[in-house]
Amino acid sequence: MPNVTRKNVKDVGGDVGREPTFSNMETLLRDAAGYEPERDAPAGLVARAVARHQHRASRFYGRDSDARHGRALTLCGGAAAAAAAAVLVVALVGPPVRPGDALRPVPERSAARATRDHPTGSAAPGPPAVPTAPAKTVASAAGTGAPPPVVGVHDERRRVAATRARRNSVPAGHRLGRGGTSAGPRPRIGRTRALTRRRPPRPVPAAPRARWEVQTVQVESYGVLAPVLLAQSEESETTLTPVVVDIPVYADTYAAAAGDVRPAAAEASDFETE
Amino acid sequence: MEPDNELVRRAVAGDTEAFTTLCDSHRARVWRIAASVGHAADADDLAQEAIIRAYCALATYRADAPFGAWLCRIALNVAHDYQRSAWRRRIVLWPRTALPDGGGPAVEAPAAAAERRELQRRVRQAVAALPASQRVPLWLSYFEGFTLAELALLEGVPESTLRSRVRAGLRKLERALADLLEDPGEAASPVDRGEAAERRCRT
Repeated sequence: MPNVTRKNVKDVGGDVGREPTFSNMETLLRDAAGYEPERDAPAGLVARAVARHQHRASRFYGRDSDARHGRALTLCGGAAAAAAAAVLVVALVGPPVRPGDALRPVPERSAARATRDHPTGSAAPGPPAVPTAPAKTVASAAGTGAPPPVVGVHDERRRVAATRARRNSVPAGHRLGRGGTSAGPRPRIGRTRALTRRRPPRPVPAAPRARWEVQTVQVESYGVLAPVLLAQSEESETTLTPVVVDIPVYADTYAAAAGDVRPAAAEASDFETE
Repeated sequence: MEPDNELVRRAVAGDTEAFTTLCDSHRARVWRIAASVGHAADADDLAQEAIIRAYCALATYRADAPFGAWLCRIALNVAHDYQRSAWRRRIVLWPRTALPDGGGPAVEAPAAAAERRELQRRVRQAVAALPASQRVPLWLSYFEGFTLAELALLEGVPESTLRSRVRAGLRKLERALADLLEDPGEAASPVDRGEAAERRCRT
């Protein structure tokens, strides 16, 4: 029995008034010490416990290598099946919508393609193509350079639509949303700022640059006046080469055809700049 | 002690038969602890769990303390965990007691014995609910008959420390079992104590 007595309680400064409570408590404890369970301990209690432990050990540690391999294979198979299912769902739902698809003028583009591919009018019926201004044909002074590229109105529309779509697409880090959600982190800039912010200009392929002047010159040999262009290419910044770009308007008989080039040496004698 | 030490040495070396023999000699103690806090199948599970824990922790046993005390301490920890478990807090199992089939002194004896056993169980459960530092010396000294000197070897603390812990545990038991200690004169009559508790609930 423990050495818990009234003397010990007094030694640690216990409350004298509580000593009888301790004695009652000890009485209760002594009474509880005589507790006998409803039934005795089972005979095979320890043997069952040891067998249970060995069963656990064999289950979790003993033959676990095969089970681990099986679990790894199951996990890999499950992951592969999930990935395949995700790819299949994406393929069935449809191709991903590229930015600007909704803005692209599909019928007009089709008509433009039909016109380009079938210039004789064998394309399928569609909206009439927008009449274009007559392209100006310009020849270089030497007669060997290619004319500047002519940009069609459909190509221009496509370019504008693509530019607008590119401007409207919001980068992934700037998804719209209030705070950090599954849609992405909180946008660092506002919606308007995200949609209208300027992007660095894309490089445009260099086109032959030229300086043009429209002057009226008189063709002395025929006695008519014809508007001509004096072209100056980048390579020769000092020389203005007169180029006949259109049909003379003051005479019924033509002195020169479009694209004709007067040699620079004959300029002084043939042309007189007003 | 000597046979226990020899069996412990063999058990630590991996002899399962030695461990089984060792635990069989202390089976009744482990069973009483388990049956104090759990009923029927729960007691069986608790006792088995205590033996399994002892088997796993056999390498940590210091041979200078009694093996029975060490095993009982493990069983006490298992009982304490069981009392604190969520399942135990939510599910209350009432013991199946024999119903009196007639009046008279002959049938009052089993009922009184059952009530007395329930009172003992309640006291034991209150001890098992104490912190480990107070639970082990109180239980092992009052219920299992170990001396404080043996428990000091088991716990690795001086006897005076154990004595202080016992007193602290007794104070906590006072508060936990205040309804049983309110009227010492009625301590021998569990039925009257129940009526007194009912009166307190009404007020």
